[in-house]
Amino acid sequence: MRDKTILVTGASRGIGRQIVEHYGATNDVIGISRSGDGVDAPRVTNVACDLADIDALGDHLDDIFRRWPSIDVVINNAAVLKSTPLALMRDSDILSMVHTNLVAPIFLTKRAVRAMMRQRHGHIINIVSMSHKLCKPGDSVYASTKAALEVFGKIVNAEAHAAGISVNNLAISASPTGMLEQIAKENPNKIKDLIPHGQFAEISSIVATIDYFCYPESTDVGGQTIFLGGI
Amino acid sequence: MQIDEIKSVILAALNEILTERGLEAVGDKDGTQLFGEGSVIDSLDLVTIIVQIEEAIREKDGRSIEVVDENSVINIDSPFRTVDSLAKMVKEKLDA
Repeated sequence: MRDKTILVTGASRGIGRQIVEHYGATNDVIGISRSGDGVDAPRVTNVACDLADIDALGDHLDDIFRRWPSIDVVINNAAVLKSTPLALMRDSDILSMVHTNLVAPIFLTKRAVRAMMRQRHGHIINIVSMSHKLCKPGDSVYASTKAALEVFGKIVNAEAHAAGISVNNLAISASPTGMLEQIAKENPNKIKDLIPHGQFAEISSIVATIDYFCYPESTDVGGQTIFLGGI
Repeated sequence: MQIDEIKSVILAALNEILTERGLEAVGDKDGTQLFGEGSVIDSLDLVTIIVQIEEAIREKDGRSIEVVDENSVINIDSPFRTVDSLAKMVKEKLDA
């Protein structure tokens, strides 16, 4: 993609940061993160916004869409992962995952769809996960939020397709960065063993899939989920 | 925002949809059917038109209104039926 306006959540680290680095070279990128930290590049604007703060989120997002009324691509990437058996999981961690992984992208997608309806085009990409395929103990809440986000994307795609908007899901196997960093450092093979391709997701495959969803020719590609890693 | 401006927003949004589909624009017809039998658009297109109205009002008047609220029922007898009835309903909400 070139010379598009792209909004990415979870932009300060992990896959989100890599996505911003990639697209920020040739596009205007708005990087959303809780800290407001992120890639330092001429075409990247970092915005602080706590996606878990549901009470303030609507107003924050409205401000962002007033500042950038014509966003071409939204990438719902931000997520929180706390892998703990439900019986031992803290209520605050449950809420943090549901708010960040599900409610925030719903709030953001609503505003994106409204803006994109006016411009009659736009792409929304939800970064989902292999977790709801694997149903690994400890991931009950995380996997549920990602499964819900996937279904949400399919239905919104059906609602918005006629207005030239596509919503697709990119299911990333696992990445050694960001939320899996600690686990991956301690035992990378344990995670890789779960992935048929036996390797972590590579940024080249991630952006290639995003590009595919956003090709001008991909007008009939919507409501789809592409799993990386051979899942 | 005055009722004629609201109608203009509705017709512009409607005609944009029709033009994209290779259909003839409807012109300045208040009675153009937006919903129900005889309509040239479907209910999801109507959503697009409603969003356009809300955004136009926010831009022009700085006001946020919800055209569809908990009391709204989109059916054949509803205010969403024609350009005219929808414009009148939006104007009433603005004046309330």
